[in-house]
Amino acid sequence: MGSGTTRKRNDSVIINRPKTKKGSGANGGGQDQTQYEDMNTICPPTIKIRLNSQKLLPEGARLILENENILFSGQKVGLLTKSQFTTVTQCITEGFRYPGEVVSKGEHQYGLFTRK
Amino acid sequence: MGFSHANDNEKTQSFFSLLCESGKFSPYIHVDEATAVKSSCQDNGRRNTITCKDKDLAGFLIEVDSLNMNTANLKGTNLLIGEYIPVIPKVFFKSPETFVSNKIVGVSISDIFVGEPLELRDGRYRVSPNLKININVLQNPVFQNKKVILMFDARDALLEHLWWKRDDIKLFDTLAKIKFFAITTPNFSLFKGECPIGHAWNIKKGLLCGVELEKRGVIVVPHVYAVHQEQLVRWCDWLKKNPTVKIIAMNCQLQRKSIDGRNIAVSALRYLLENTDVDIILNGSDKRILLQLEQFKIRLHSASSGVFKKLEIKKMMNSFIYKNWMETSRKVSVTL
Repeated sequence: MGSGTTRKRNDSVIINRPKTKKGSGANGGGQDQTQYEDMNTICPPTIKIRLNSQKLLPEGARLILENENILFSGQKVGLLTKSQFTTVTQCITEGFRYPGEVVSKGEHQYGLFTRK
Repeated sequence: MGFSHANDNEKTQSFFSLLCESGKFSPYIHVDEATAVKSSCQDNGRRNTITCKDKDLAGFLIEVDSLNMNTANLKGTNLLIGEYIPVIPKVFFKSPETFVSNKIVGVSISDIFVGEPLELRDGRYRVSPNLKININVLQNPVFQNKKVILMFDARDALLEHLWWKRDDIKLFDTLAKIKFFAITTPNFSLFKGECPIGHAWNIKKGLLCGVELEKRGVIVVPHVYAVHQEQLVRWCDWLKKNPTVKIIAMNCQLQRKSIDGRNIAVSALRYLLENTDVDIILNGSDKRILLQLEQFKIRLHSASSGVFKKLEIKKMMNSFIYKNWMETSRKVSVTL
């Protein structure tokens, strides 16, 4: 939406392959993206998962994904659903990362994984 | 008049700028434009833009019929517009036509959808799944007996989605049917430090949107962004080859917020004003930009929704004060 030196963090987008009528042959940066797939839906900007840690985790603390497990300082504090795990796995293959952090909302804590 | 660099570091080549191959696309990209590249063109995953190293670059270039701006020509217009164009936000659409006395007004593309086009979830914008343009938007009371310019300025999440889906949703047919007085071309982003291929691609996308709209009988005002002197040279060349384009637009909403941004905007505007005879609609500009261009005042037209936003805040404040007063009164009467 703009011009300048710094993009707004809340307005990030993945450019999709063009829907060319003529067709251009090879796939692009994405491994398997077809002309008709919206990469912004396949690899959403954020994934939020409720954590199940017994103790309160520090706000903003870094979370690690190890397979379907969400880890804080080596301890398992949450779990990706099967579909979330598939999404993250595919998007990592596409070249994106999903670093995570702890966020609190109301009485619950969540792992917020943001596409980079 | 030279182009103002935001700071001296931008004149120095970075490691990434040396690896940028955008210069191969001369004359549509000048070799010097790569100097400002500040991140890797390799494996950017099409984050926000495309680069010279994109594996499907050929496909992206076919999509826009090459980076040559001169394959996208516009008739443009020579609209007679006043110094100020009020851009009416959605919240005031139901207001009576007398609410705004100006005969030429603006409306933002983000406000012509049924519902909100974007949702902010977990701090990131996403396109609403039920995106639908309200083709009756100009039937709203506030627009009666007014000429309405569509300001095609929006967040990248929305603009890129509309561009990608333009054929599926018949974007240009739909916009033409609404019968706007004129439509600016979209303000696809140009950020310093990114690959110049992405810049040139975005400039061409904007022009092609204008071509499609003109094919459908719409008056088009090309939106101009430039973050490098050579881009301005190409814009001036394009304007000379499209001499009936007498008004262009530039969105300054993001640029006005920082010194660097304002420097970029003022340098670009000054260059365009000194080297062409166009008038410029500045959307979302402010005094800090306008005061630096005082000598060109007669050719600058300020489009803004600022006054309405202040009014909205005032209305909200009044409603808040009224609600609090009501609650306090109720408590008092219960106590009594």
